[in-house]
Amino acid sequence: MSQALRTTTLGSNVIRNENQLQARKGLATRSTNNAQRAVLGEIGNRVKGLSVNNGPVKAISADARKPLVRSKATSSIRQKVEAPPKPVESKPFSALEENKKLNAYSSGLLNVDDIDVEDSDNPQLVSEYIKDIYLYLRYMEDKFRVSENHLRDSKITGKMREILIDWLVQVHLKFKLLHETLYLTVAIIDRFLQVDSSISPAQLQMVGVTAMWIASKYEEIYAPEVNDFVVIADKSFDEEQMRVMERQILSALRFDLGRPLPLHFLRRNSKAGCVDNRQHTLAKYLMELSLQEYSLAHLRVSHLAAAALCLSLKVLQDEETEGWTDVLTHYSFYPENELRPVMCQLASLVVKANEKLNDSRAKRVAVARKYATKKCLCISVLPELSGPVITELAAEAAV
Amino acid sequence: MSISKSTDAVDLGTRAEGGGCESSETGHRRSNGYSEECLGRLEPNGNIPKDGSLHRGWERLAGGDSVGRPPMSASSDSRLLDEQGRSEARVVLRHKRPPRPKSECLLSQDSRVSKRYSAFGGDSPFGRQEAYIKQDMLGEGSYATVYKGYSNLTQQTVALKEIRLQEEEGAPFTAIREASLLKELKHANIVILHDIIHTRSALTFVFEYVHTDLSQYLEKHPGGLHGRNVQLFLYQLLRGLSYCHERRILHRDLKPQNLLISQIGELKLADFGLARAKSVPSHTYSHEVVTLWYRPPDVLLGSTEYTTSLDMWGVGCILVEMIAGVPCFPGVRDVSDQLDKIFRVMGTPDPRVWPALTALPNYKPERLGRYRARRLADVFPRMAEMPHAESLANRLLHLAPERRAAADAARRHRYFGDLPALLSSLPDTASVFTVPGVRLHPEPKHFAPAVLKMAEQLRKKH
Repeated sequence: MSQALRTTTLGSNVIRNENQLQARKGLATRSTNNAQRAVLGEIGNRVKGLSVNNGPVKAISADARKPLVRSKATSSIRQKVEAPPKPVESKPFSALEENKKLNAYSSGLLNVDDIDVEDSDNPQLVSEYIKDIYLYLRYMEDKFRVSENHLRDSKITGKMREILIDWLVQVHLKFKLLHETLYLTVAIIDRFLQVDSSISPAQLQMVGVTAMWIASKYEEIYAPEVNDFVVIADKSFDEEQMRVMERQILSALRFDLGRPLPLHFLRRNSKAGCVDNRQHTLAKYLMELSLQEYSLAHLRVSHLAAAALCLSLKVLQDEETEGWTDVLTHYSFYPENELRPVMCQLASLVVKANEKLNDSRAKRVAVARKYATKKCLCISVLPELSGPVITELAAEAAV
Repeated sequence: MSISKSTDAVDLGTRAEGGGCESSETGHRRSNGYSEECLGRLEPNGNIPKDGSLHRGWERLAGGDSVGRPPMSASSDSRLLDEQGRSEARVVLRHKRPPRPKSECLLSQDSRVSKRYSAFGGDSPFGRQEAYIKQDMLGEGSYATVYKGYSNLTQQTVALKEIRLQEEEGAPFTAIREASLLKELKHANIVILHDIIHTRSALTFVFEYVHTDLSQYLEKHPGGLHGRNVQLFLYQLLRGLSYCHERRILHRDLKPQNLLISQIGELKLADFGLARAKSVPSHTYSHEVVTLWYRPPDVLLGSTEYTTSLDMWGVGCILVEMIAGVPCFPGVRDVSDQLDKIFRVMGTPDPRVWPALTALPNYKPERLGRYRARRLADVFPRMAEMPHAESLANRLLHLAPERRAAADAARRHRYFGDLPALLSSLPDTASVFTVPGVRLHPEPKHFAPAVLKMAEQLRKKH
């Protein structure tokens, strides 16, 4: 596999290539004055930690509280359930199942805060549609699931997948792509390998790069060019091969690229939990660590997003943090006990990453290194990540 | 408010979280899949420059007389021009009618015809070139050609949208997004994508065949449409759009050319090439979206943080256009002219009423004309004849995006009060024409003012 994955390592080669790469592509000609988006700035109206005098976490007036029993989403679902039966294909949101689930959570929680009630003035947060959108995303994640052990018929192993994704994380960083693009890339790879078991280890790198190319076209305003990808892979395949692979992937996926990403759910959860920047970034780190882990590839992305935030809140507990509240259970769709097994697995990934960070010769440590930088708030080297919360959960995973 | 080409190019690179800040080296911005040469020739507003060198395709369509004609392109749309329509277009376009501006960033010159072969088969009869018979060309867009066709699989007429593949960059991002998004959308008011044929040289989308579009319908019935039909078309547009918005999809290119109209009056949203699924909260997106005439003021002023309100402005423009028979804000030249057209009617915005205004990148109050808002019914007199139409148009054409009505809310507006109540509870895939009493009305005949005057005199005599 290590031969198959011929790459320019991110050392001198790439840096040498970089100038020539940038001279050619649109990436290099990006504006200098664009402000980076604040990590949490737009998630909600009540994000704490952005200003000092923010008061207590749930400073919501009494009239802002409203029971969610007949929120717009639930009622519209009911409407849809009552609608005459339709062909399976157009059945909305697998409505029945969702409705059951919603009721199960909301019946005991008549007083969950409506976290969108104060957003009607902010069109960024589309409060009119937000509940419909998240129900739809739940439906979509089930429609395009990756099954457990999806590489069982394939010549690709979980280890090869790990090597590939580790390298793609570095390429992603190098090309300065959006976070969404990385998650979509991995989703494309997994769904493609699940349906096409003929891919050989020698082709795997090309699959990965082509998946990132497609993901960039879907997500980015300016995607890197095909040649950039060929160069970054040290020309172990050419552009025509990538175009053929593009057709193969798009046809295998039937052009369905709308699978939701863990990031979509994390943003919602972070808003519901009024979390601060560090807690949000730690959850992102945990989610990114999990990308490489084959045994977590089949997880529902909403499940992963909820578990990552839940663990993050446990690790970075402060006096303002209330842990996994009823509000979080409601908006994330998961109660804490359902998240625990995933949290244990995430904790053991952190333990592994900690060991690698201390070993300068360790391989496959791209995510942890990336999150050790200032831009990522040095989140992967936080002392809390070596603390008792993580070690205990990791020990539980080992059992 | 005039924006130089270079500043515009830099603005284009604005990106979100994780984005880079690198200095501009070449001065050109390269949009994926489109040649530098082509983009370099764009005007700041993304339209084709006037030198006529880029729109050869259109000249062929419009009769080859290009001297002094303003820029015109058949655009990205699935303009369904049949042979007869083309000759009509030739007549219409040679005269004073202002050209419709084109969609942004859909430019490609590669029109080589190469041998087609089916790259992937499998056992499914779908996805194969042989299953479809290509017939007449219906229209030619800048990155695709639309043919009428016949499906041997379903024994019905279809529309084949053939997208030429880029020599280098494979499937254009517009095609990838359009296919992926349309596959999520199954609704009576959204065009149905039946099949996709992906070969080495072309990507063909097989759509249901719909016989005309709103732009042609408006040309065929000048002077504005029947009040009932305006109501029905608008209702269907809002129905399709709220379905998209509930699924976090923005269309981003609403205009009459992209609204297909069937023989019985069904309206279907088409051309999702500029659409995209947005995350919540939104990314920073390109502000080079939506054809100029239908682009909202906040985006014209450089906002990249738009959301569903982007599409709603277009709905307002289309409502006015259907009633008045003429485009609502037909800007010529550039963004500043477009803003001027809007403000002359809606009034120059006041930061006290719209506080976010001052933060918009291209807001330069000293360069904007100062106008007081006029009543829409004064500007478009026919609007006064239709109950509550003006009120709805005002809700949709709010300058401040956060105050613009959402598609769901607009559907509940009293302007639709006299439509059958059953409409609001129709299943997604049922057409509004399945409701008893809903039908397309014959369009009124509008006579030239001179004829009307003469009729008036005759009536007086008797």
